[in-house]
Amino acid sequence: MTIYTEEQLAELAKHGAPTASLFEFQFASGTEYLWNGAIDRSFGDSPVYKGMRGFIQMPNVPQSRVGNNSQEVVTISGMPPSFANMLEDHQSEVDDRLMIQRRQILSGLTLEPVGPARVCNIFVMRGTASTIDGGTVSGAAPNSTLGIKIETLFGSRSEAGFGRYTPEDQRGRFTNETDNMFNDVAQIAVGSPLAWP
Amino acid sequence: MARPLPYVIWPRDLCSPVEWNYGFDPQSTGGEQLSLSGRLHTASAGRGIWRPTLTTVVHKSRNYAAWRGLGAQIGGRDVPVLVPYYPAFGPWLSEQNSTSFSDGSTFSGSSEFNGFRSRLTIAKAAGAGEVFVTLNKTYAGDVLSGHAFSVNGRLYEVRFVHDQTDDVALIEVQPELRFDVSVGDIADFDEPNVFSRLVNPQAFSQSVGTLFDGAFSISFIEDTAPIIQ
Repeated sequence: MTIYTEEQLAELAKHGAPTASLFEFQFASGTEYLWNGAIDRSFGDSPVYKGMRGFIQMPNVPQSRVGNNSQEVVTISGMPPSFANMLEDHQSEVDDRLMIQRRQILSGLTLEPVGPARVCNIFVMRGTASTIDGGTVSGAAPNSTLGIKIETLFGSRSEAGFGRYTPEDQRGRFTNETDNMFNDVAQIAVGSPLAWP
Repeated sequence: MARPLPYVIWPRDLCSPVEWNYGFDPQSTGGEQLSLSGRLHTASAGRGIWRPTLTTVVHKSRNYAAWRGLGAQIGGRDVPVLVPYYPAFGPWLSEQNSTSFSDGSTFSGSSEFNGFRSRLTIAKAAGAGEVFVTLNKTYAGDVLSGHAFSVNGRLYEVRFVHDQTDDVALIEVQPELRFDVSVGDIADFDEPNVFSRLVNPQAFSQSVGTLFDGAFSISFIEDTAPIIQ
């Protein structure tokens, strides 16, 4: 069992296939397609991805084994004009919207896409944090950077009611705590109002 | 207001460098890279980029005015520059094409103007990101590895020649095609250019004496972004 097709596996084995990381940002004002290559190109029938010339810095976000929301920041420098205005506080552009990361295997010989792009990760965008630096006395050029806070899909899952926590929740979240607090919570809290003595 | 200039064409003869570096960076890594997990990104998904450098461009005070004008128009990294690829040694035939006056008459002794040295066009449309190009050879010798040509201002180097007759050549280029090419587009092997921007916005602020050549170099990097006018 594999997520790759026979064709893709053969390509990987034969030429050490290069892979392209494709990013789909579903902003409120429209979806942006970016990738980290040097040129604007499409991959098969897909839309034209803007080549960001390596200016997307994507942290490695492992899917949590225990359902934690790990929060990371995608950094985009040198933005395309189409969303450069997001450097202002455009929280509503990203709130609770999805960012999808795909991986496309290319032929090592022709750089043509081989097989379909595979969804690699789906993130929820949570906010922006941008910096705009002016030119400095020492000669650095002005530059601007857009940081987009992302969470794994667990971020969109609503938290369980406190009274519904189980010992498994405790083991998952606080592995080193062994006080069995949630056992008591379940027993005390469910269905009975607590009176302060 | 839009950008004042979409790009500047480097005055090839007026500001010619004494030395140059065509500066191709293949950005390749060694060995076979496997990426089965989908998380490793070990092999580059491109075929490189151009970083040309021109050295000693100001020749005493003869072209200083042109140099300053050029620097003013380029405005640092603001405006892209069509930088000439100087060591063009394309697929010349032994005899250069020549051209008469427009009414067909020639100089006395029937000599004519020098014309182009080669004329090749794209024979088959290809999309951005592809590396195989088919050329029609209207007036050209053998296309060889290392020859460079530009299509619509984007520079490509012949990496391999896969098939070639007197009329057609199937070649593999590096870097990969920056933009779609259409049938009939000129593949300019005579005076190729690369669409670039300055690496350092202050590159034109250099010490130049009136008695000596300006012995400094200015570096460019290929600008692969579309022209936004």
